[in-house]
This record gives sequence, structure tokens and C-alpha cells, in this order.
Amino acid sequence: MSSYLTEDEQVEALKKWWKENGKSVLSGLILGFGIIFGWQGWDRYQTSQGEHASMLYTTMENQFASGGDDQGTETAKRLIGEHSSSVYATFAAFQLAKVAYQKGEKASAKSHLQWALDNAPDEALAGVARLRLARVLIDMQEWDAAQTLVEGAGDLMPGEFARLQGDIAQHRGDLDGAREAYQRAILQGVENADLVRMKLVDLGDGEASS
Amino acid sequence: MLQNIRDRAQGWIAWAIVILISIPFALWGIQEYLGVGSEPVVATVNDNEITERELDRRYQQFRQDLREQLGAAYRPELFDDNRMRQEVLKRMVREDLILQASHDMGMRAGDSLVRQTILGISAFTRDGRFDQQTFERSVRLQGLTPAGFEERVRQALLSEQLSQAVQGSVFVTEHELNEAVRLNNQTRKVDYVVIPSKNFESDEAITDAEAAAYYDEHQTDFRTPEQVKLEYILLNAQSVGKSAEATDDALLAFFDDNQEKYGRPEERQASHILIKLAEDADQATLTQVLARIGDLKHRLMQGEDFAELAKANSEDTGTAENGGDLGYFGKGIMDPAFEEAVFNLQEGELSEPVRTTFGYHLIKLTGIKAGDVKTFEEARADVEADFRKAEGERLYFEQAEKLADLSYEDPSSLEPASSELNLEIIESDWMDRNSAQGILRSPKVLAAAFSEDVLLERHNSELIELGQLQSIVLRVVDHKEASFEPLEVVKETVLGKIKQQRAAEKAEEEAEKLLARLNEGAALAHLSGDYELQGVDAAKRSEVSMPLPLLRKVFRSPRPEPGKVVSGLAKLNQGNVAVFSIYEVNDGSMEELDEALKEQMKAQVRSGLSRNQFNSLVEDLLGHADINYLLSDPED
Repeated sequence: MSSYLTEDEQVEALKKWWKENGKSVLSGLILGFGIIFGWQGWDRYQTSQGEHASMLYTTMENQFASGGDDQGTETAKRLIGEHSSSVYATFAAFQLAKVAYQKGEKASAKSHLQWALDNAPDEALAGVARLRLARVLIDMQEWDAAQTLVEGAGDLMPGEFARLQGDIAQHRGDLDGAREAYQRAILQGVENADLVRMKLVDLGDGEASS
Repeated sequence: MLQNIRDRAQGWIAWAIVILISIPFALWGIQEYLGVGSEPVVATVNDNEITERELDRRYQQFRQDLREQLGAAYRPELFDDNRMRQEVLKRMVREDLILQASHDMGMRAGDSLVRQTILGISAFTRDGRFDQQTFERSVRLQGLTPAGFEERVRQALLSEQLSQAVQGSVFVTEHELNEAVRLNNQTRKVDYVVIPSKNFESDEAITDAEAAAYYDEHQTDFRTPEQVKLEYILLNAQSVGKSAEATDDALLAFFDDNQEKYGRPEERQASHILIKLAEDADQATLTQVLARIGDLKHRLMQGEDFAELAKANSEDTGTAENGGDLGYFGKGIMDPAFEEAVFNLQEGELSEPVRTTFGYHLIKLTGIKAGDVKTFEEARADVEADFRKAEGERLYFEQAEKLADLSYEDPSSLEPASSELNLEIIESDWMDRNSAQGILRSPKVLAAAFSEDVLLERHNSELIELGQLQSIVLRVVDHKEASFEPLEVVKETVLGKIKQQRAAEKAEEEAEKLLARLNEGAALAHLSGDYELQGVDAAKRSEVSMPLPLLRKVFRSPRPEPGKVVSGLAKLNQGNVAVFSIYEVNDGSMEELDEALKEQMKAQVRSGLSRNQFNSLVEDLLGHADINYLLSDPED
């Protein structure tokens, strides 16, 4: 192993090595840079898409805020059409549901909320959609559908869902179930808790906790 | 052997090893440039770090906001610094989390949106338009660069969007509104009697053992809080002024300096004609101007109208239109030469040509408003009061400094300060933290009085600034630890309480008996006997004619079945007991409400819903996030 290599021999060895390994080195480099630039490009694309959706959303908000319901609705629909997987589309659906309900178009409100529930890119937002949809269903007296939704709720806003559970049980004449559900709602934290307490008292529980 | 190493170091493996070794050397210290890991971190939120410096800056900002909001009520000594920092940090974590979540959800705020928002911030506008300089100045005042500020706006936009998207789209369903109205506006028909405990008071003997038992059970009622007795020196500008020396000479000098305060000075009205002349004008121009002004003067002497001539000839364009009228003015306003001329003329008299920096004037005095100047003797009382006030303000700071020094040099007594500054030492009554009176109630004073240095070491306090040119130095002369009043001292009170308690128990027994008979089917109207029967046909939840504990109880009772009655009792204040019967419950309905009330109800239900939905969203984020607080909690 003690042979001296002349410069020529060294060059020769290098060439030989390159012949053997050059391809894999080059393809490795190409792959590496490809991933880096590809990722950056994807990120830029995502950002520009997000920014565009954000701009549309702000425009929509302003339109609704200044009383332009028709323009707002149009922008919201465009937002949902062009950026259906974006979180802004979910926001737009929330807003459309509100506007529709306030106009008395309950079925339309329901379908917007259903869309939000199916498409929300975030679990917590899907939970919000689920809660709202269940409330509209109760309002529309679609008790079975509401029941299914309430039962499928995760651990988000347990108090709010318990309250809906109580409403459904009360409607079905299951007063014990309603009482239990309302008590659970108060315990787990529910907004307008005073109202829930009143419901509880109204069911004949004289010792409602204060 | 070296030869051997050299031989072997020729292969490409050796080169690879050398390159690998060189990497750490090349990158050594790079974190200094990237700003990673060099600062103390107070919390981590998922992968993000919140540094101590960020917290400090936010905390400063927070305190500043608080000061602006509270104004004079801002009392830094009332705040627990560490607890507040924890609170601010929690808020930062929450914000950071919302920001991260919004980013993960794919929310973005582009440059154009950020720009649009900044352009709309009214603080950066001047004359109704966005002003770059104002923007940069305001931003730097907050310790930020414009780019940093834009980043802030971007973040604020995102969390605003998220909260608005969730809270702003909440709506109340008809079902919910009906339910709320039905229950909230429910009324109940109710009869009741109040059984006063007074009727059952008796002089039945109370044994010592009973008294002792009551005393032991209610010991906290007989506790006296920690008390101190203070000595203090109060310094304020008023008293400093009062004791200031007010010699006649000083007063006279003050009077002369401030004469305008003691009466209205004389004012004169004049008209003028100006022929302009530059100060460095050459001889030829001067001769020319003098000729013109001489000519004008001559024409005026002939009886021509001053106003007409002024209009035609005066080069003071501002007044020429009005015939040269300058209106009324006092001394110290006009050019000195002009003023001298005006104040030496008789009314209606015309001046010689007067040279000022503007040129040559002809002046006519058209009116005199005589000044109402008081003499020193007439104004003396006012002068002295004003002089003392001014002296007080001037000397206050000097004296306050002396007071601070003197009371610090001998921390065991206020005497030296008192005699040196001729200030009285005042002694307070016994006081605790809540019973302090007057200026001693100031939280700063209380904090000092109960501080270790003053209370235990019995040192003089520092000089405490109370604002409005008032300050105080105090020391504790006596101190009582918190204590329990012995039974002997409070025996009368204890006996009275027991008596009341017994009467209340008897009233309740009586009420129970009454209730039992009601539950057997008797009517309250027939049983009320000695007690006055009272009734409300439609008691609301907000009924004011009924005692509150009774009203609560009535609305917590179940609904009577049709034709039946629900009865109960409620303990009122002072041991009185009410017995009631509910005959009917009537639900509220939407039809009874006018539009305004409907809207109010809707808003009430909605605000609850929206708040909760956003909060639970954030709670959910908090629950799933990996948060570490690294700031040491002083209470742990």
C-alpha cells in the first residue's frame, strides 16, 4: 500500500471515481435543490393564494358591514368557488349562513353550515360549524338530525352541546334526560348560563344550583 | 511513521474526513448572527419562543396604557409587579397561539392589505391625508421600526380576522329567542306573609357557656385588625407660602412685576398712513419719502379726511382699506418708536412723521380706553395672597428636599426636621388599613406606614409625594398587632347576637308550621292570622316590591300544576322569614314585546353565544398546544 502516486495518476484516479459515482452525486444534488426550490415555490404559491383569499374576505366583510348584502354574498360565493379548501371559505360560509337565516331562508342557512362542517380545514372551526348547524336544525324541528350532530361532537364546547342535548330531550318528553343534560351544561360551562338555570327550574327542579 | 500517515492521507476517504471536520469550525458561532438562543426565554409556545426582552417591552407598554386609562387613579404601588408580568405573559402566549393557529389554518395578510390598513389609521394622517413623516415618528415613539410596525399590523389583522369571522357570524335562532323570552319574561302570581323575628324575642337567660360557645364559633367577627399610631410632617405649597416672609419691599417688587394682574392697563386706538422705506435706503429715496410724507401731513393739516388719504396713499395694505385704523392696543405690542408716539398724543391729534423699521408713519390718535390701574395699597391684599402662592410653589421643592434630607439624617425622630423647617409634627389617632382618614388614606402612605422599615425598625419613612405639591414624612409611634377582643369586652354584643339568633330560629319554626299546613291544603289567606297577607298578581324576575331573597326563592320553585299551589319559605334579612304560595306561572311571549325589546333580547343572547364560541376555540388551541412557562413565579 505504499506506492507513490504521481500527479497524473492522481488525476486518473479522480476521473475514475467520477465515472463510477458522478451520476449519483449529480442526481443527488439535483434532487436536493429540486426539493428546496420546489418547497419554496409551493410555499410562495400557498402564501399568494392565502393572501388573495384574505383580501377577498376583507372585502366581503366590508361589504356586509356597510349593508351591501348582495355584493357581500357575491364576494363570499366567489371566495368559496375559488378557494374552497381555504379557511376563508369556511368563514364566508359562516357569514352566508347568518345572512340567509336573517332573511328567513333557513334551508339555505342549513346548507351553508353543512358545507362549512364538511370543508372546514380545522377541527375547532368544524366544531363551531357543527354547533351552529345543530342549533338551526333544532329551530327547524329536525330533531333526529340534530341529535345525530350533537352525539358526534368531540370534546369541543361540551357545555354548549349538552345544552342542545337538553333541548332535544325536553322536546321528546324525556324530562330526566333534559335535567341531566342541563346540569351537565352548567357544570361544564355554557354561555347564558342563567337561561339554562331557568330552563332547569322550569323543568321542576326546585333546587337548581345558583 | 509520519511518512506512513502522509501516505495514507492521500485517499479520498481522508479528504472526506477533513471536510467533515471543517464543517463545525466554519459554522462555529453562527447563532450569534442569526440571533438564535442568545436571549433569555420566558415562555415557549409550540416551537416559538417569547424572549424576556419582548415581555419587558410589552409590560412597559401595558403599564403605560394603564396609566393613560386610569389617569389620576393610577397607583403603581397597588399592583403586584410579578403577578402583572405573569398576566401580560399569559396574554402574549394567547396571542401567539392565535397567531400560530391562524397561520396553520392558512390565514395570510398580504402587503396590500397591511398597507391599506395602515393608510386608514387616523393617528398617521395630517390634514386628512396619510403622512409618511408622522407615521415614522409615531412608530419610532413606540420603539419600533416601520417594518416592525407593519409586522405588528399584519399579526393584529390576522387575529382580528379570526375573531371577527367566528364572533361576527353568530346568529340567534327563533327557537332560542322564544325560549329566552318565555323564561326571562315569565311572571308568577304569588301571596306571602313575612314573619318578623322581633315577635319572638325573649329575655330568656343566656348561660355563660352559651355565650362562650357563640364567641368561639364567631371569633373572626370580634377581630381587631393591626393598628398603628403615626406622627407625621405634612408639607404643602400652601403652608410653605403662608410661612414665607412677605416684606413690603418684596410685595412691592412683585406688584411691579405683575401689575397687569391688578387692573386693566390703558389701551389706545390709532390710525396711520405708512410710506415704506427700507432701513438701508439711500439718500435720494429718503428725500423722496420725506417729501411725500410731508405733503400728506400738509394736506391733513389743511383739513383733508385722514381715512380717505390713508385709503389712497398708505402702503400698509392691511389697514389702508379701513382708513388706516389699527384698532385698540396696549403697550408692548407696536414698534417702540410708534408706541411712544401714540402714547404721547392727545385724542384726535396728528403726529409728526415717525420713523420705524417699516418706514415713515403719520399717526392719528382716535380713541383712549383709560386703564383701571389699582395702586399698591388698594391691591395689597391680593398681591400678598398671590405672592405667597407663588413663593409657596417656588420654595416647596427646596423645602421638600430639605425635609427628605433632615428626616433621613436622623431616622429616629422628626424633631430636627420640624424645628429646622418650622413645620408642625401632627399625631394621628389609632388607625388600621381601612380606618385611616384624610391624606393618611392614600395607598402610598399606608404602604409606607406598614412597611418593615417604618413599622418594625421604627425609622422615618421616605418623603412620600402625594401630588399637587404635597408631601409627607411619617413615623410609627405605636403599634398594635391584630388581636381578638376578649369575650369580657364584647359580651354585650355576643348576648345581643344570641338573642337575635334564638328569635330567628323561633320565627323559622313558626314558618315551618305554617308551611306544613299549607302543604296539607290550607289557603294562606286563611292562615295568615296576625301577619299581613301580601300578594303580587304578576311578579316579574325584576320585581322590586318583594324582598330579594323571597323573589329568588319564588322563581326557583317549580311550576304548580293547574289548580294546585306550590308553597315554600324564604329566609330574609334580620332573621325574618317569609312564607309564600305560588298559584300561577305565566310564560313570556314574543307578542308582548315591542321591536326595541325584541332587539335587546336578541343582542343579549347573541353576545353570550359569540363570546363563548370564540373563547372555546382559543381554549381548544390552548389545550392542544405545547406551552412552557419559564418565567419564575415568585409565589412558588
